[in-house]
Amino acid sequence: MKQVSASLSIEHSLRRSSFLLIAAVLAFAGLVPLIIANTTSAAQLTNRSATIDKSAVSSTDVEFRFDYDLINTTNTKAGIIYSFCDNPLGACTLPTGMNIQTSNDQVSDNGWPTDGTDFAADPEQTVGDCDSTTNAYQICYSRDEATATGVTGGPVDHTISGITAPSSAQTVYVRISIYSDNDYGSGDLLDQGTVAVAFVDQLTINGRVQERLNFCVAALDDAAAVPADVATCTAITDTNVDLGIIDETDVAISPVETTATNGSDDDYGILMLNTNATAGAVISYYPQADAGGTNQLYAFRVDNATCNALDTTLTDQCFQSAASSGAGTDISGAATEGFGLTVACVDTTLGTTDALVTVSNWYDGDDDDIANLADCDTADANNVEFGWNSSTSVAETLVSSTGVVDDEVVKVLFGAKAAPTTPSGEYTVVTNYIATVTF
Amino acid sequence: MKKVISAILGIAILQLPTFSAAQTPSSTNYSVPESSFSSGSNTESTSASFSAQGSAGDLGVGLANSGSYRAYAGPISPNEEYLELGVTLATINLDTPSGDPGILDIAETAYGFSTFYVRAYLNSSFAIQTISEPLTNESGDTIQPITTAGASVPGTEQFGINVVDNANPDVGSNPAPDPNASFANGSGAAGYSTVDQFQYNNGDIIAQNSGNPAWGQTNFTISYIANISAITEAGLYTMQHQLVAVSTF
Repeated sequence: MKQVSASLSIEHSLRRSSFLLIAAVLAFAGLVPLIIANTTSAAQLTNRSATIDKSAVSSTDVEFRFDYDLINTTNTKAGIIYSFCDNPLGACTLPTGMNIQTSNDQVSDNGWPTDGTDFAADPEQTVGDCDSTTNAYQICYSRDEATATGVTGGPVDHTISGITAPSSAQTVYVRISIYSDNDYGSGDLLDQGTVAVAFVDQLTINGRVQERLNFCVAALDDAAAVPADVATCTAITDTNVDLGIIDETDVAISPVETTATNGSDDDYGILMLNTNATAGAVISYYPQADAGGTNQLYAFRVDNATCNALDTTLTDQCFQSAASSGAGTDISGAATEGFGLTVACVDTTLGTTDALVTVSNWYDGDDDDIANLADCDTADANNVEFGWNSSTSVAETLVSSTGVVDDEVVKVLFGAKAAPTTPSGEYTVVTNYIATVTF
Repeated sequence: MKKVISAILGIAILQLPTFSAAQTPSSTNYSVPESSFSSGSNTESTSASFSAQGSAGDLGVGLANSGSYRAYAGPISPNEEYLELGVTLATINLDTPSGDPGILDIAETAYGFSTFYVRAYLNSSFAIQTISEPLTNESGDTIQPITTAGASVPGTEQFGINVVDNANPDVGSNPAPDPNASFANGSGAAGYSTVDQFQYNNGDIIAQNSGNPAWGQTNFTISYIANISAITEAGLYTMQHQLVAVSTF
């Protein structure tokens, strides 16, 4: 009985040992994948996204900014592998036309665990999981793991550039793998995740602003309001400025107040411009030659008169012209004669621009200023410096701008003074004005 | 001893599910990222001219949300990232109602529109950014963008866009979830989603998901308006409009 009992005890003991062995094997089998998984499986990066700075297909030098939250808080972060694929899972194929390896480069990285070094693009290589030599879809970035002392996780960003986009519209999935060292060992994989960007067609939006040039030349009475716009200016039919009687005592400057005896018309000249020329405008002028005259054809002269070849002559029927150089000519001197033109000011009160600002020194009067004045069309006896384009029919610039001109009015005054020897006669000159705009 | 054995067996049994959880059926030659056994579901169908994810004949498909839970009913589960941005390739001439085509006018607003769609798949969020300079001519002059949402004012130099159905001018459409709001949640972003109010800042988000998560396909219409003033420089103004989808997973 005792022996039987012992036998049963042994059998029972063996059965229990078998159960223990089976249980241990099962338990170990269950724990093995857990142990392995804990050493090789990576956590999923959260809040992960990618932002590109160009979305058109075939764009070059595309910049990718990756944002994500690092899950691992216990290891150094020293390596990143990016795989650019046409799908988020499975075999990775680089989208057609895409080139990520030739020019990719580090731009910035922020928020990463403290490290004295930034990430840098590795050359094509086969090191650990980084096999960019074989895989055209892969690029690898690393930094000095020896000095990587920080171990925190949380939000980080990494920006790279130099990527060439696919040649057709499609979504590109970028698989991101973070490593604790810079030799990309499989056992050093920390976190990973996939982001997506879309390369798409561009929209082309068009609208044309038509070129516009509205220019008007007119004679305006001193008492009249400046025309509100170029159309109103164009409706003015008066183009004559009459200085009336010119003598040797004073300079006659338009507008010359009309009296019962002087024959003047109290007019002055205006040049009104409106243009949307992007590169600006130039208003120039030239006197029209007296076709029937001789010598000094562009001077203020009696029609068809024969003048001396030298315009310094004070006894012919051609006024001595003011200079088109320096500060111009003061024609107020005694015993001299002179004729010229000056830009009194540019009236900018009608439009929205103050663009016509440049003028030659010999056309800006005594004050060297063409800025808007309250009433710059009033003749000023002290304004006696004039200029004149007398030597050629080539147009000479009066004023110019570097941009759009909106209803600006150039006020042009004429001045003349006779010498005691200046012959009598009806003196005249026709001036032509040209507005040249550059779109 | 029985307790010890039971404990060990218990541990073993508890570990067993880790073998198969979240695994994707695959072999060297194939993988099945998602599978279902139902009458008409498929993860994705594509051809040269279309792409779709869909299901049919299932008892329930969709997202259910509350403050404390979220459930995705139906055969498609969010196990992989997905994003699709479709821009209809087009050249849009901005026209006035009574003027010549493509000619901007000081008296009337010129406008036009284009379309795009976003398809997200249970992403945390998506945002559509505009990353282009406003209308610019050959000399580098730009039509001044409306930097803070405002109305269209003829005679004042303005360029702006929005993604809603406008009355003045009569252009655009509201964001359209496809097939309806139960299946997609895209909407216009602040500054670009008010009727008759236009805005443009390079880098702005013009559209995004209105709920969390972002999902489904939403079709958008971008309305473009332009006004010029008396001093708007002449030229052919062009904008190569690029949209960028930023999806967070």
